[in-house]
Amino acid sequence: MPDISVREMTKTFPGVLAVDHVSLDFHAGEIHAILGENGAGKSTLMHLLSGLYRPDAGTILVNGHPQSFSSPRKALAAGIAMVHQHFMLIPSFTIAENILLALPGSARTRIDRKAFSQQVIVLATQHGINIESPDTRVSTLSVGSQQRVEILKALAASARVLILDEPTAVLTPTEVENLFQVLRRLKHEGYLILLITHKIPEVLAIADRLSVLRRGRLIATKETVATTPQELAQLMIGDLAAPAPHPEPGHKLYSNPTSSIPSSLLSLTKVSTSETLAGISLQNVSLTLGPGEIVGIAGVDGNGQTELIELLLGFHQPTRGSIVIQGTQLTQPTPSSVRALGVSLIPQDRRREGLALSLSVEENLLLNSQRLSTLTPSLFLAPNCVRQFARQQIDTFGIRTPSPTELVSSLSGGNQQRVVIARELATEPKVIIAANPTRGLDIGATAYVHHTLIDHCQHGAGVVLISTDLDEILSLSHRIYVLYQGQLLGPIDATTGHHALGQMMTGVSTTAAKSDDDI
Amino acid sequence: MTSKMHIKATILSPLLALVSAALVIAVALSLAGISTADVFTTLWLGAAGDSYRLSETAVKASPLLFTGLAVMLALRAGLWNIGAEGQLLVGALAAAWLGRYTTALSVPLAIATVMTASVSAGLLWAGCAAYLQQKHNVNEVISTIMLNFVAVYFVSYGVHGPLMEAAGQYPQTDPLPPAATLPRLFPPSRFHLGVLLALVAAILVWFYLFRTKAGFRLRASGANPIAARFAGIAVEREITLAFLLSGALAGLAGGVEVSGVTQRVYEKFSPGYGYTAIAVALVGQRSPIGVVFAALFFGALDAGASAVQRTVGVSSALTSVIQAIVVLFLAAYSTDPAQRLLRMDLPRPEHSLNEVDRQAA
Amino acid sequence: MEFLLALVTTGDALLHSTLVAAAPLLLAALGETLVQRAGIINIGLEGILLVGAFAGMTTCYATGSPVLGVCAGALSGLLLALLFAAVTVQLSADQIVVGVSLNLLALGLTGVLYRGIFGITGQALQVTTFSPVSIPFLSQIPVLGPSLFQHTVLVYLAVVLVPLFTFFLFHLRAGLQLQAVGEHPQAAETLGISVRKTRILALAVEGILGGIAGSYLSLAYSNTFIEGMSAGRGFIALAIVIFGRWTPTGVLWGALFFGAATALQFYLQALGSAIPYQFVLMLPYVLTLVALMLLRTRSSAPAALGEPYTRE
Repeated sequence: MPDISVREMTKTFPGVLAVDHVSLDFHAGEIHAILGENGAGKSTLMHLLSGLYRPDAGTILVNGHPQSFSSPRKALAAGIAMVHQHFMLIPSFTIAENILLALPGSARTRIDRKAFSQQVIVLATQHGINIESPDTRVSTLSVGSQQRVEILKALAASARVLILDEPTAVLTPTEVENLFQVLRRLKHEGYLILLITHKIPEVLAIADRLSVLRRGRLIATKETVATTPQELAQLMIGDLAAPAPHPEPGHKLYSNPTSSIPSSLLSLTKVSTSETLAGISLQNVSLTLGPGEIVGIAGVDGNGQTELIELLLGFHQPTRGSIVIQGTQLTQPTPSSVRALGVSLIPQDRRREGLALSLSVEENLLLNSQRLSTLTPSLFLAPNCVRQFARQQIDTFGIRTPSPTELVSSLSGGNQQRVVIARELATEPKVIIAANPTRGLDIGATAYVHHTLIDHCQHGAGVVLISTDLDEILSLSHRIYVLYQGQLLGPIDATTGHHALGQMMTGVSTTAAKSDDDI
Repeated sequence: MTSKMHIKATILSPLLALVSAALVIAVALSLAGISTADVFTTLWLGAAGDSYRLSETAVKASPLLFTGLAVMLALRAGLWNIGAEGQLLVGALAAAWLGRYTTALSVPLAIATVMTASVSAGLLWAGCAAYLQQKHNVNEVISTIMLNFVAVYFVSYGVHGPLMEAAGQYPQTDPLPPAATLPRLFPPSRFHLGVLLALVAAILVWFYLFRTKAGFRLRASGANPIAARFAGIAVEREITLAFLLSGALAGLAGGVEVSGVTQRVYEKFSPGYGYTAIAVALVGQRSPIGVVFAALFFGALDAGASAVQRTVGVSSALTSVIQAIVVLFLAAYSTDPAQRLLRMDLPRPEHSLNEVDRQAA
Repeated sequence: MEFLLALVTTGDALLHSTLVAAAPLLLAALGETLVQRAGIINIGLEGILLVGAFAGMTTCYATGSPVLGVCAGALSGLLLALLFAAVTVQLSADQIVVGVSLNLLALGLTGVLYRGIFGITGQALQVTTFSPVSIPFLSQIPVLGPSLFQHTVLVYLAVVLVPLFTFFLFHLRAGLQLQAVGEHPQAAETLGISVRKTRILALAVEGILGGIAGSYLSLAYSNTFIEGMSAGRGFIALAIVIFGRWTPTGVLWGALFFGAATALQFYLQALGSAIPYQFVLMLPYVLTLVALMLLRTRSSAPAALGEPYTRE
């Protein structure tokens, strides 16, 4: 089992020094966490180690011998494998076929599916990894299962070093525990596990040692037992005065405004939808929203969030139940008719769902049917009108752009999100659906988004906050629900901690929650 | 990137492609022992040698402008309309058919009737493909090409059968009555009112795309259909509308050709205008102004090429070769590696200066 | 009894004509299947057929040998396919745009070269063609023998390729690798599969097969070259790939279906039916539309089909 070292690793992208002369030593038989904020350089460093990127300077040492990897294949030959955050599995292939392709072998080999499936089962049992039958199609597997297939793939290819990139991002707390069990066992068998993460609690739970990166530089390497969460947070952020990356659970950032009449803005009553291609349908969902309220909906991605958003925006008619927005019952809804009732959306994926990258800033500020109809009553778009409106929004929302005619693709992520928010909030919506609104944003941008949402609430709007970030949910919401497999559990007491919420997110406990039905 | 850089790149790309294509043709011609200078001079003279030649260029450019606008409009909505050829043909046929009944009408009314017929025919023909795409998920590239072939045979049937000229000698329709003929503006040249109509169409398309809400919705649907849907735009409806408008424009091209140039419809009525239109739309960088210039260029190429065939002896099919090479270079130059090489680098958002939005780090 | 005999004879002849018409479609569609399984759409297949037809006929005219003609056809198809590969795979340009230009290029080139070499003639020039080869023994089988086993070599080639391709795609590691490229190129790349090389190879094979199919048109199906003689077969082959759900066996059935439709054209004309001949000629194209309309195939397409891939 190899020891791995990196010396003076450096990698630059156009305009950015991503990894800055990092030197580290890793030992076989340990779990080593690489800790850092978004943009700290941890993923890039690991991509250099796994052969996906080539370093500008520096060396990799495997058992003391310098190596260079021109491709992931070469790194794999040296025993280093990476399990990516977005899985590199072929969805339409079976588990066995996916693992087969990961093994070295001549292209001319004949495939013997039966024999190979047997081998896969043997390997899985050997390492105590629980997977479905090897003939199962990967597209039908749960996220946790797919991850285990990825790990098995690496082991089958004789990897000795496993690099896992944000492995718990898409797992429920139970699945996280399962993963940790697998990792501990592998560690005892002598493997080296490198964990890329920004979650301090997990690092403390599973890692033996950790290294903190900030702005591409190595800040410190520590034994897990010899440090505290506070110290780690400070090392990650680097500024004592700055607030903690996430507020402590249960602690509200802002005080509660009182809400007058609940349910006057939005009311879903026992709504069900038909099953989508992904196999998810909403079942018996009931939800209310009043002015000044933020309703938080927690849950792991893939439990119905997209379906809920599409439902609320009027993409389809529910199969059962009713939706009432600002007093109007929805029948034959369309996104434009729903928006006309005062609904706005800050979408989950701003580049894919919120912006047209080939259009300009001012054009993107118009990308909203409600905005289009209220800007001018006529069929025509006068350029002055458009320009003036754009300048207004750029001012009000602090969008940093050289001019309104700049293509929106050249804006930074934070500014792109400001464009989306400016557009969606400028129509003075009463119902704001905010889906992972701070995903991929730094602390300053995140605070801005939160502040803006709360501001609008204080002026009478209501926010449905759908987020995978539990801290965000806990610190902003007046009432909390959990979305699990298409069912809405709650409302839940706002002082509920992570662990209890986590249990509900996995369906383990529903007793702590009362659904609106019972009230 | 800034809009200024964008405009620069928009003009540079096609120019570069044209120059590259010219170089390749020059090399090929010299390898074949044909004088490049002869070919290029004849092309130029054939297109712009005197005022008559210039008017011919304009006449040849007119159907290319209509169909180029058609393809461009569809592209803006994210749609490939390879069926402009078929839509043009049925437009021409409809014009010839309905034109027979306009003898008693006044000139403006007769022309309007004929144009309406061609617009409707083109719209309906495109509608077939639009229907197949929307309701049955049939890929529009294949369906429009199939419809092109059907249209060709349909025209053949028409001119051999029910619409054949009264004299019964050649497979062609009777000429349109004088009332339905677009007037020639500068006799003896063939420059007809339709050429101006094409320019008007370009202005109208520009206005539609950039100064109306409907045009904005169309462009948004093409730029990012997912975001457009979330924005409350009925994307499917916009695409269908764009398809129909595109067909209408292409149909109009056919009507104008019959009414302004040939007066009759016959087999091989279109030398491939609908396919050249694709090159026109691409070289025109999907903008109405660009399409005007591109149509002029390819019209000039057409006019010059018949001269080349007569004097130098190289088949006029050379134009197809030139078109193809220009489009290939254009496609090649618009790719990332080429952009980087030519230093028309678009700053990629993934590596922008904002530390946070980097996916990798 | 006589009626039954007539029916059998007609059916028999129809079967023969079906195979004759299906062969070029099958060859072209098999090549395109490989390419689409690797994630690329090549609508320039039509152009490949055309240059194959031209190169085949010209070489045969010059040398008197149809075999050399087919070789020339294969070579010209290969060159065109490699041009496509250079721009779409190497540079990641838009596949539809490049495909359209390929067709234009083929049309123009064959037009220019044909008139350049042969001048503008009123009559079509004729060349020696392939003669049918009877397979001994099997062609003696009553009723079906002659119609199935008395064909030109190229027909046998097309049919034989079907099980070969099936084996390759589904039972050979290389075939699985090719599929991976079309489903998830990024994942394939991390598995050590070169997306670029795979796609170029697939296109090369398609070029050769398409070129052979094209030369078949001028050296077996007919005995001459006419401008534009591919007549949309490349596009029909594209449609066949879709109905065949991207499998060689499915493509075989699709090709046979269209071959039958084409063969039927001549019979309908021969029967002197009242239908104007243009509508009969429309049949394959209309049929393509109808078939595409009736079959639901979106879900079986390779997941990354048509999306350009660039390595980071």
